[in-house]
Amino acid sequence: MNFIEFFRLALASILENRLRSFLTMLGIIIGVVSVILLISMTTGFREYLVRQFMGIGTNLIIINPGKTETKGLGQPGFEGVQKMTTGDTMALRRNAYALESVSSITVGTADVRYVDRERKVMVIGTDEAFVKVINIGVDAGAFFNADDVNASRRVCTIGYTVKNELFGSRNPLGEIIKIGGAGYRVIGIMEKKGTFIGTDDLDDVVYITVSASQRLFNTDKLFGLRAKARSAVMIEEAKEQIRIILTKRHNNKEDFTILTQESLLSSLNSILKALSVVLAGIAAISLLVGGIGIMNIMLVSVRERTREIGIRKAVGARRADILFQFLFESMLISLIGGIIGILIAFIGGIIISQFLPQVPPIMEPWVIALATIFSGSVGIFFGVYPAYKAAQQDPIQALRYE
Amino acid sequence: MVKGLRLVMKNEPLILLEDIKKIYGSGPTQVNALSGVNLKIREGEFMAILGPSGSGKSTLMNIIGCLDRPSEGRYLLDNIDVSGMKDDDLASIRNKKIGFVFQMFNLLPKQSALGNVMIPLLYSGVDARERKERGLQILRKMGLEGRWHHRPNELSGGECQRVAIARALINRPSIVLADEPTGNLDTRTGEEIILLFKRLNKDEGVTLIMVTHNPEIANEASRRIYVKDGKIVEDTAP
Repeated sequence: MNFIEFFRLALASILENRLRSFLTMLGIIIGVVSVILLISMTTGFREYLVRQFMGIGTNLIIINPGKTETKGLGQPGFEGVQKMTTGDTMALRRNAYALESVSSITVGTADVRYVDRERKVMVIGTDEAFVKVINIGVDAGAFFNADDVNASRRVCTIGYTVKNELFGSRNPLGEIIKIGGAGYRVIGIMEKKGTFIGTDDLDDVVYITVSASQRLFNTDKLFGLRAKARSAVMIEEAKEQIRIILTKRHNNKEDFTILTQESLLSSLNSILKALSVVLAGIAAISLLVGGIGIMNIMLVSVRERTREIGIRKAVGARRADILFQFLFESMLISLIGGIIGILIAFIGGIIISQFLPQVPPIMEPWVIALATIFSGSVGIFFGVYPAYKAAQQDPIQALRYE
Repeated sequence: MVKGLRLVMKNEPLILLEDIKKIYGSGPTQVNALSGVNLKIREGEFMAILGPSGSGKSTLMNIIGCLDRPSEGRYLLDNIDVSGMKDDDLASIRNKKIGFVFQMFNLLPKQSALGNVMIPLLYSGVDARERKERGLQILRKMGLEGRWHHRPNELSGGECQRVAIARALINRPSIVLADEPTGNLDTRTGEEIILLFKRLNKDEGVTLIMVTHNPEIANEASRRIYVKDGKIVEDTAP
């Protein structure tokens, strides 16, 4: 007998017991659907994070005070660390030729008031280079220029949420708002950015000049620097130049951390990969349960078909003929279950992306290949024992079986 | 001389059992199902095996049919010693040389008449088209040409037994073993089946061995042996 004959035999037997075959497949179907959907959703989430991080800016380099060997997010401690100042920004602008632009950043919160409406808002102090480094445009009006920064003019640009909350439908351009008690003229409205990783509202922000903010918060320290390399290939070079220039300025101490989007992402990626392995592992347990279900049904089926086995053996079936007949059946049940599971996961993915358009699940081909191979192997693995039992039947006993 | 040799060859028995013993279990629970059976069956014979239940005639039948191996003794089938063969080799022998007809028909309930008839060919590696051709041909011979697509539960007992006979004959075996082939049929249908057997034996030269405890049916055979307590106690062979 060749494989096509075994395949036909198995298919005929599955179709004879449609309901039972389907119920047996159900375990595999559920397992495959959950494995594929969970992996696809973490993949989708990872892609979303990449988009978000890459969307901040192109060839972005983040310089934060404090040295940490740890890669990743989070602000290192400030103790025993020399502060970062606008002098560092100037030095980098002058000497780091691998950089296209450098911008100072301060961050704080303050009460922002317009007439009788007040709101606690994130205040970012920065300079004219900010809009070159960070991927953000101005919707109306303009961002402050170098003159505004040098002269510490009390001008500001506001985010979309701030505009809506304080001004409603009125035009804020030229109006004066009070930030921490002092008046600032609104000269620009930033374009809408939405949320970052679904949490911080990037539009609930007011931008003022770095010098004004240092006065507001009564400090000359910076939150950090943001720089842009001239090109992607120059990022490493730029990092090295930053390191040398700032170390020299900071009494030969490397008391700062240089991060890139890639380094931020790589740590996030490893977290997400671990997460997806754990999730897929949990889902794989249901595949295992499905496999045990197949074994159970196949054992019942072998018992039920004892007489058939006897007849087949009497007319010349060898042990291998019976073994493969049942093995093909369990494999095919599992494989069909796997394919149905893939189709359902596919439809499920489309439905999920309707509800989560920002984080659509991404089904990679290797996941589908893996699901197919895995479901087939489950069928073979859990089918071996029942098939072996079938093949071992003694024809005389089997023929007498009622 | 040459002529004489050929004659001897032709008279060589199809089945030769020499001092066949079958013992089940061991020690005090030991059962001697067969205790020294000697038997020669020639090609073209129609033989009936008679005996009370528990006499060992089923065991003898199973050994002749290569479903079981003797504990002791030698069994030559078509000049091949099959007494010590492995299971898979015995399966091949059954497939090519032996056709079975059972009391309970033993057809697969979910297969059509044709499907049932074709099964032995599946295990001799005959391709699908030839299987169908030969299956339809043999069903026609059994007078079932219009019934090939029916399942066993849609066929009468007599038709079922004819399907079973077709299955037994499809691989052109050396012998057909029938175990109480009329046991589940009414008298008239039973007679029809026996007639069919006689015709196959006479016209086609099929060697037939039939187990029965019905003396009337056994009388239709050209030779009868009686088994009792694991031994052949009477043989009507000339």
